Amino acid sequence: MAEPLPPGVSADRMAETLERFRQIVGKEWVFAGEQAASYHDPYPISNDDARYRAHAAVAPASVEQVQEIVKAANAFGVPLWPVSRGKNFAYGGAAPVLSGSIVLDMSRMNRILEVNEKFGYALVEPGVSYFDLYNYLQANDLKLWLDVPDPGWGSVMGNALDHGVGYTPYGDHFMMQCGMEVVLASGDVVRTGMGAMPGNNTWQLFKYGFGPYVDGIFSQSNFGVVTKMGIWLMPEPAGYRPYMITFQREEDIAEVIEILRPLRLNNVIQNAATIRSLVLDAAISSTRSQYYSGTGPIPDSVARKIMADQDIGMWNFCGALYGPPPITDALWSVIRDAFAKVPGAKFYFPEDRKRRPDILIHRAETMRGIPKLTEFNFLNWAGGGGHIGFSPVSPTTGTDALKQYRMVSGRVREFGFDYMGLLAIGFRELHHVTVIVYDKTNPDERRRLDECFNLLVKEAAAEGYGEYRTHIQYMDAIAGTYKWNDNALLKMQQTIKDALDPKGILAPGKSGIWPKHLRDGKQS
Amino acid sequence: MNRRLFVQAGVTSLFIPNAMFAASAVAPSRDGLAWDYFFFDERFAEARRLAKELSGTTEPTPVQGDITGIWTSELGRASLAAPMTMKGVTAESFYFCLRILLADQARVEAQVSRIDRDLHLWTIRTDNHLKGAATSWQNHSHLV
Repeated sequence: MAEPLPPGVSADRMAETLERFRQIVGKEWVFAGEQAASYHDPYPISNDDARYRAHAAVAPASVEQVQEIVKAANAFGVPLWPVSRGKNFAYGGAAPVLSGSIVLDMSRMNRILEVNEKFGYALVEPGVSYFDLYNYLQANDLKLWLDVPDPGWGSVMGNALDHGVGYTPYGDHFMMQCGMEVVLASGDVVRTGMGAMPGNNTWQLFKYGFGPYVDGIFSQSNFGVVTKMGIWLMPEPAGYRPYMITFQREEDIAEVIEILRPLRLNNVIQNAATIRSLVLDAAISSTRSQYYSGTGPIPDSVARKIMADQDIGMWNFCGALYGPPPITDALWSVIRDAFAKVPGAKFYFPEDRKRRPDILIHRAETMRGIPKLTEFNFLNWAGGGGHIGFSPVSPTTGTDALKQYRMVSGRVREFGFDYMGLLAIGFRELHHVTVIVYDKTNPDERRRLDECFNLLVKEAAAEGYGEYRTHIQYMDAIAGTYKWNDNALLKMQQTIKDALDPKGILAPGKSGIWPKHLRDGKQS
Repeated sequence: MNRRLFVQAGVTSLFIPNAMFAASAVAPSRDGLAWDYFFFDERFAEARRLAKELSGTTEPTPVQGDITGIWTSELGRASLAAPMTMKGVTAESFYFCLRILLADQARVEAQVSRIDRDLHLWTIRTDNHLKGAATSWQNHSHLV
C-alpha cells in the first residue's frame, strides 16, 4: 500500500520536506517506502492497515540536525513522531498515532556522554540502550548498577520518559532522571534544572534548579524532543540476595498485599518487586500447547498441573535484598515471618531452584540490573506473538488488588484470553500490568482484543482506576478518562501544546494531546 | 563523531507454504556448505526432527525461546564482524528478537513460515557492509 500522507499535506509538499531532510542528514538517513517498514507497529491491533502508519523516517546524528529538522517540519507543516529507539513494542513500537507522520528516529544519537561513579549517574543521548550502558559499565569496571525494564534493547531515556519501571531500588525510572536537554518545536534548545546555569556542575545532581520544575512536561508528551538526559545509577551494593515467595490460591493476593504494604513503605522490601501470575511465569519456560490443546482460557486443573510441574504458585512474589549480609539477613527474617502467615506460602532462594529455565533464576538477573530479552518468551504462550499491556494503577491495598484482579481477569477470560498479570509494587501504589497475548495474524482475534481492551478501560475508569501508560491506539481513550472538572487537565495540556508548538508538528495525538487544527476530528 | 553502525533493516516476512519453504531451505547456503547457525527449539519434537532434516552440515544449536544468552555471549559480536546466514525452527520470541537485534547493526533479509501453533521456520541473511563499526558504548566521550 502507498504510505499515507498526514491531513492537509500534499504529496508534493511531503516530497519537498523529505528532500530538505536529506539535505540536513544525508540521503542515507531518510527512509521511505519499503525502507520505512521497520517503523510499523509489530503488534498491530487495528485491522485497518492504514492507521498508525508512518509515511517515512529521518534519523539525525546531532542536536543541530534535530533543530534543523524541526524548523523544516514547521515550515512545511509536516508532523514528526519522535522515538528514542522505537522498541516500545507493547505500546506501538515506533509507529505514530497520526498516520502520515514522519518518524524522527533518534537512535543514531547514541553517545554515553558521561558516567560518574563518584556520584552515581550517567548522561546519555536517546539512542543509548540498556545493553549499551550495561556493557559500558562492565567494560570499564564501574561499581554502578543499572535498573532495567524487561526488554534490554530499549532506550534508557525513552523508558524513563514513558514512565517505565524496573526492579531494583531505582525502579521508578522517571524519579531517577535528573536534568534534560530539549529541542523545542521552535528549534530552540533548553536545558532544565541546574543545566540552565552556564558553568554549573550539578546538572545531574539536583533536579529542580530554580523556578518551576518543567521536566515532567516532557514525559509522555509532545512538547519537545529530548536530546540528553541524566539518569541516576545505583552504587553496587555490598551484598545481593534475590528470593521468591509463592502463594497457592488466587484470593491470597488480598492478604499478600496487606502484608506487603507496610514492608514496602518502611523499605523493608527495598526494591520495585513484583507479584506475577501463574501463566505469566509459566510462559517464561513453556507454551500453552504443552499443557492444554483446548480453546478459551486454561481450566483450573491445568493451572494446578503447571504449578506442580514448575514448582510455582498461583502468585509468585519476586524480590531482592541489597546490602551487607547482616542487614539483608535481618530484613529477610522480617519478610519471611510476615509472609509465613499466608497458608501455603513457600520460600525460595536461587539455590533452591533446580529446573531450567526457572523464573527466579531469570528474575534474579533482572533485579540486579542485567538487561535481557527473556520476558519476550511470553510471546510464545498461545502462538501468534502479539501482546499488549493494560496497566491500571491502584492503591496498595488487598481490597483494590483483589477487585482489580477479578475485574480484569474475568473480562480477559471472557474474551478467550488467559490472564497474564503482574503487580509492580511502588511505595504506595500498584501498577497492575496485564499482558494480553494474542495472535497478531488473526483479524478476528485482533477485533476481540480491541473490544476487550476498550471495555477494560471503561470499566476500570468507572471504578476510579486509571492507566499509567498505553498503546498508541488507546491514547485518546485513556486521556479521556482523566476528565475531572470538565477535562481541566487535558485543556491545560492543550494550552501548553499550543504555546510551545503552535503548528502542532510534534507527535500529534501523543497521550491524547492534539494540536489545535486536529483537535476536533482526532485524526488518527 | 564516530557513527554507530546503523542500518535500516530491509525485512521481508513472508508467509509461504511450508513445503515450498522446506524445499528452499535445503538449498546451499551462502558458502555452499553450511549455515552459520542453525537454531532449533529443543522442547519440541517437530523442531528436533526438522533440525536433523534441514541443518545440513551445520551442528544445530538448541535453544528454548530466549535469545539473550547466545546473543550476548557470541552472536552479537559475530554478526557485527561479518555477514551471516542463519536458519532456525524456533518459537516466535527467538526469531522476533533475533531479527530486531540484527536489524540494529546490519541489513536483514528474513523469511518466515509458521509451522504450527508454537514453531516458526525461518531464514535470516545479513548484509554487513558497514563492517567494523562500533557498538554505541564504544563511542563514549566526555563532551557535553
